[in-house]
Amino acid sequence: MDTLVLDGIKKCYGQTIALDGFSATLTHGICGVLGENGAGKSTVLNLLSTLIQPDQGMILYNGSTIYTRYYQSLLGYLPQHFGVYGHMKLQDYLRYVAALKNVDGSTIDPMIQTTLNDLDLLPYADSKLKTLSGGMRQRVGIAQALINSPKVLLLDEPTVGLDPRQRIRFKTLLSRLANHCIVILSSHIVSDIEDIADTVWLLKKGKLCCEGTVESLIKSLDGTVYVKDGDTMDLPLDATIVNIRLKPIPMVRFISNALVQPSWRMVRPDLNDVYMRVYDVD
Amino acid sequence: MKFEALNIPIDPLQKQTTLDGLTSAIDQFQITTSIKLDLVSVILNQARYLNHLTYGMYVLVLIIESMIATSAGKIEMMIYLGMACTVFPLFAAIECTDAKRVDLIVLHKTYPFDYGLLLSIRFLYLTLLNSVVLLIYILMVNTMRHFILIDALSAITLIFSMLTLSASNLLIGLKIKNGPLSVLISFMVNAIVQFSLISLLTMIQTMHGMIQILWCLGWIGLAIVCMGLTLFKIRRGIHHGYFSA
Repeated sequence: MDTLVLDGIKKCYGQTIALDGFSATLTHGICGVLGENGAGKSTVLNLLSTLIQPDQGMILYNGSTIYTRYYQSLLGYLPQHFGVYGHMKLQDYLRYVAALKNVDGSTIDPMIQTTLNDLDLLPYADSKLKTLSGGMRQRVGIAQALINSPKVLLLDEPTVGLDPRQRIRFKTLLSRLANHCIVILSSHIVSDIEDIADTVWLLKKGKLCCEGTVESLIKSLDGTVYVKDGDTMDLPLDATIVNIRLKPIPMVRFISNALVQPSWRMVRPDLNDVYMRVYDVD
Repeated sequence: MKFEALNIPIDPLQKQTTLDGLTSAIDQFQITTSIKLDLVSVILNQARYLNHLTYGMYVLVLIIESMIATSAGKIEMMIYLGMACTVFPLFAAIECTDAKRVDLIVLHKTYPFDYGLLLSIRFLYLTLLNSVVLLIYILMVNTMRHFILIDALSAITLIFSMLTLSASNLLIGLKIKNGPLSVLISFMVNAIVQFSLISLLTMIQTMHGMIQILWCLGWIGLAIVCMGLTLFKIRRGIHHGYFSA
């Protein structure tokens, strides 16, 4: 079983502390990273992708530093924003990336076919990248991350631009990969993470403020999530409003530890509730 | 300086060749500078875009120079060439530090490819393209007067340059596994480039003219502006964490 250990990571950009004392251990499976803008999600991915190095602390893959070409050859990385060579045909681009990733020459073509098939891109194999739509380009980004059968897969907002069918297909693919791969998935779409993540990191101001399995995090809110008809006027002081619906009947979903009122209906919590609760409490 | 802390990777699974040693040395040299390989990568890693830009610039220069090429001083012309060689990559650097280009470079930095080698080849690729265009220029200018032996040599050099250029471009695509071959090609390319420059300088001996001095001063000014802009862009890159300061 491969392990990825982050031990006491601190990273600053000038005077700004992006990560402070971040420690965590990962094994095979999907880890979802959640956090507000500026919480340090991208910094974590940039560190794990070897783009930047920590000011303090260590990152170890199977006990060795990650700043090696060996680790990079095991890495698949999809940044939030990535560039492609628009003039290249899709399969030429993947062949180029595969070569740069040290994929064995004899396996490159089968690998490209498999990856294109997995991502429903096979019909576009001979299309130039500049002619592809945004969603297709996103899938190209995922394809370049997968082309070397990575052992560590870092995905920053991978489902942006994907239609619902492709999103489901992608989540299925990720679940399959997670059996033999460490997958770290950063996303603002909480439901995506809830659907497929084994563990979740919630980052806040550069610190890992909450960590656990999806089930355990959701369970922590059992008996505290309610909906009530009407507006937000008579909510308790400790309430965290999760959702307000105005039509067809005004309704509020909220989290509270206060004494239950007759007008409240208890509902099953979800990861969205956890997220809202964590970032509502200072 | 973070040289010690960076712990330059040596992959035990990768065969250590002379070229690896060379590129490792390049890596180390670059790491000891404050911006590592990134500045070089910014300028060189996007050779395709650089070429578009430099071709455009050269064509412009070609047209203007062809009009006034009848009287240029040797010294002035050399200064001009020096400036041209400085300015074009700087223009290109400005182009390449745009966000879209940086996004491309970011991905490349996570690949396990020998980055120094890739950049070295792309540098040669770029240099060759530039020298080819310069040679075309000189051939055109010189043909206006008289055909001499040096023209023929330049033409031969041009053909060789293009052939080698194709080879180095191919190597980028295929990924070099054969270190000695790439070193040989690099030497050959270097020799051709050197020869081209010598040929070039020989041909411009008779040129002179006040207008050329003004022309060169213009290029110097432009070069300074470009350098300033490039440094500004690099600083911005550092600020966004793309470069290790």
